[in-house]
Parts: sequence; structure tokens; C-alpha cells
Amino acid sequence: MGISSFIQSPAYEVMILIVPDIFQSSAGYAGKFSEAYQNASAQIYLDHEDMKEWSIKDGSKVELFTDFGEVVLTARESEEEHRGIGLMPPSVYSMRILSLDNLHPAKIRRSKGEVAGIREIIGK
Amino acid sequence: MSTKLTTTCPGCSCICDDIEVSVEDSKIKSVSNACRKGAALFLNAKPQSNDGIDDEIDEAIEILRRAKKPAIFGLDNTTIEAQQIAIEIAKELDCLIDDYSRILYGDLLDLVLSSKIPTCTLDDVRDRADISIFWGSDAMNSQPRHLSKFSYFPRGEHKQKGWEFDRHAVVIDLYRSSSAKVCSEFFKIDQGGDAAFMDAILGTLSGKPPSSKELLRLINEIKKANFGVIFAGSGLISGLNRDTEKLVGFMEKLNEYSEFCTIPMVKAYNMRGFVETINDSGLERGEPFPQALVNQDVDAALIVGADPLSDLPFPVSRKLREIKTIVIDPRTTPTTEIADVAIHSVINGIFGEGSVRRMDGVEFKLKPCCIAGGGLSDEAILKRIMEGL
Repeated sequence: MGISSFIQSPAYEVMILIVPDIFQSSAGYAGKFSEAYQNASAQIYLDHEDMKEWSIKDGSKVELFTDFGEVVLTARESEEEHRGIGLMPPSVYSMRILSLDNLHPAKIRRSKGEVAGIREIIGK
Repeated sequence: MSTKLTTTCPGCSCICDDIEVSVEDSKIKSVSNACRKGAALFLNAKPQSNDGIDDEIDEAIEILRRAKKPAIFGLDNTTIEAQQIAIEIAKELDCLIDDYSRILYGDLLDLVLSSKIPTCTLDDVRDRADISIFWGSDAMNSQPRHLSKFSYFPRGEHKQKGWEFDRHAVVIDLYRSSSAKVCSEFFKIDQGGDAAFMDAILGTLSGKPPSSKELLRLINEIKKANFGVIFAGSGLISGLNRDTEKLVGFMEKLNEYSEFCTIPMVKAYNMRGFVETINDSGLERGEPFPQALVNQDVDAALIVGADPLSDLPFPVSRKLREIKTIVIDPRTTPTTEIADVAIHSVINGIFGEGSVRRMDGVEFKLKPCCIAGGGLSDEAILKRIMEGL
């Protein structure tokens, strides 16, 4: 085990915006515990320049955390420019870290963790 | 042998009534005319069984009887008939009843229903609208056929040249959404910048110099329009910090230049129905459900057609684990999984029937297109709960 495994990646501030995603909502009709729905839910779309600056690659795992909790997600490169904003669909993953306020500031860092299943997130 | 039927889709608040399904051996084999969401809804529909349903209903009645502070929540994804019975239960239990409309749209629907904000139907939009402004709403992901059926692409009675020459569609949002990619113009605003953008529009309309060429183009389109519509999404309400009076004032000013209406871009297929039904009933909704949960003002919740674990922040939804919960839903969801009693109802519009209101308030009938298995509708389950109480 190298020393790098003990060093945490730096964390960056990101504003979370909950947005609808037709692929995720369609997958929900096949079952909210289906792999397709889970994969479509446990992801965050990030700005290309932010990803470059934060050394996050498309498809890699990231940890998103706030005072309310943390989740491991798959990072996706957005086709559009939205610096400092991470787009997530509504699901148990995004709701796990949100507060009751309209603005959702969070921190993001590279992760070596695995995405938890929905049952694991809800504690069932 | 397969049967072809034309049916109505309860996938979103567009309530498309031109869906063609092919049914074989009580199963939906193919779907035409539907969007991706609608097709997924029909093709994944499964009948329910009656196994254990009597015990589940009895258990639900017992929980509600014993509760000191019960609440009813959800109801945006069910029929008007089911909503009416839920309201009767709320009266019987003297408890709060709430849906997602206040959480997502503040008092926007009430302002529209009381005519403080002018509104129109989607048919008016298709036939007459010169300009459609999607503000904080992404129709392409939430109401996927909105642009093709009503607001941008179709030929209407007075809009025979369609989107190429006759219509202008604008998106105002925090990011370039899927809708922004297909519409004529996109304005990116900062979080909370909605009120300032309204001021910029009104300022330029009144003769102040525009801050950009794009804004000048929008103002020219607004001035040119005989009829325009703002499709207000939850993003707008959140961006205004829920200050809907700002929108009321903006609409008043805009109407000094040409006729402008607002249609709330509600996502759930019968949210508009719920708000109209509860307003008609005269029943006060009480404290907003999330607040009541956090304040520990609820000790048992009857949740109908909603999945708060997937769409309410964790500090709220975790409170559901501390109280008794009864969930009525056709599907297995994170909320049915943690419920004390989960009653699986049939899907309205596929196995069940009832009335719903489209986002503009126009009423539609959902009729079953598939006769299979057993199961009860939300309406029938709520009726039995009401009788048991």
C-alpha cells in the first residue's frame, strides 16, 4: 500500500443544482432499484473546465459531501458550460446531501470509493 | 391476437391523449406516439395482485386510528376521485393534507387559479402563441412532448408556418438545458438573478438601453408578439426566492405591451388537479408537510403516489423513519421499502381509471387500456380506508 492511499484528494466547492433527466425518470419506470435507474441517478454532471482544474476524469468516482452527509458518485463531463455548478437528477443520492435551503453548496473530491446501492443508501 | 387502442398517458402533466398501444394477452407489446418517458411507463406496466391487500388496508386503518397527529401527503400522481377521498379522510381525521405544489412552486398555482396571474390553455398556445418563454423549466426532460405538441413546433390555427417563421421560443435558466438547445434563444442567468433579469426586460421595454444585443432581440420579439406565454418552472420560483409577487408585477407590466399569460410547468401528472380539488373543497391544508415532519408535528403519514425519500432532502425524509408510514403506490420505491405498510395500487390510465387535470387545468379522463390481474386503484384503496375509519 503506497503513501498515496492515505492522502485525501483536495476538495473543491461546487453548487448542486437538481435537474430533471428523461433517461433517469424513464429508467425509474423499469424499477427504482434497477441497475439502469441507479446508474442514471448516482452521477453528477460537471463543467469541462472544472473537471480539468480539479483533475477529475469523465467516468471516475467522486465524493460529494455537505454537513448532511456524503455520497460517492460517477463524474460525467457535461456538454455545456456551467462553471462551479454540478447537475444531478432527483434521487436518494442527491437528496442525501441536500439541506432545506434553495442553494445547495457542497464539496467535491476525487474518490477511490464505490457507488453504494440505493438499498444501502436508504439503509435497507 | 393483439388489439390496438388509443389511450391517454399519465407520464407527465402534458396528458397526451394520442398514445397508441398494442395489447396482446393483457400485456402492452408496443407503444406509438409516446415520448421516452411515456413509452417506458406503458411498457413496464405490471398488473397487481390482491394477495394480502385486505390485511394491508386493515393495518393502514389501525395506524391512522391510533395516530394523534396524522398527515396525508403526495396525491399529485393520482386521480381527482382519489384526491377527493383523501380530502374526506383529512376532514375525518382533522389532519394536514399536502402535496409538492407549495414545495416546488410556492403559491404560483393559487395565483394562477385566482386570476392574479393571467393564464391560458395549451390549445391557445398551439393556436396563437408568438413567443414561448421557458423560465426555470426544462420541458425536454420533464414534459418531453410539450414543444412538439403545443409550444414551438406545431402548426396551430393561427400559426400555420410553425416554428420556422411563426414562433419564437426562449429559455431562461441557470444552465443550457436540453430545451435551451432546441429553442431559438437562451439566456443564462446567475442563481437568484431572475428578479434582476425581469427588471432588465421591463427596463429595456420602457426605453432604457439594452445590456446586450441578445436582450434587444428578445425585447423586439416581445414587442412584436400579439400573444406570449411564460412557462414557469420550479427554477423560476426558487430563483425568485419564492417571491411570487415579483412575478405578478412582471406579468402586469408585460401585459401593458401585449397579451402575456403564465402556465405553471408542473411535473406530476395531476398536481394541477390536486390544487384545484383542495381549493374547491375549502379545506385548509395546514402546515407544509416537510416543515411538519421536521417540527415533529406528524406521528403517522399516509403517502399516496409519492416517493419523498427520492425527492425531499435527507434532513426531512429521515424523519419518516421515526413515524408510522403507509404508502399507496403502484411501484416499489425507496419510500415503499421503508414504509410500515406499502399498498401497491394499479397504474391509472393502464389498469385503472379516473379524471386528471393537465398543467393548464383542462380535464381529461384516464381509461384502462389493459385488463389484467387484480389489484385496486388508489381511489378504491382510499375509499376502503375511509370506510374503515
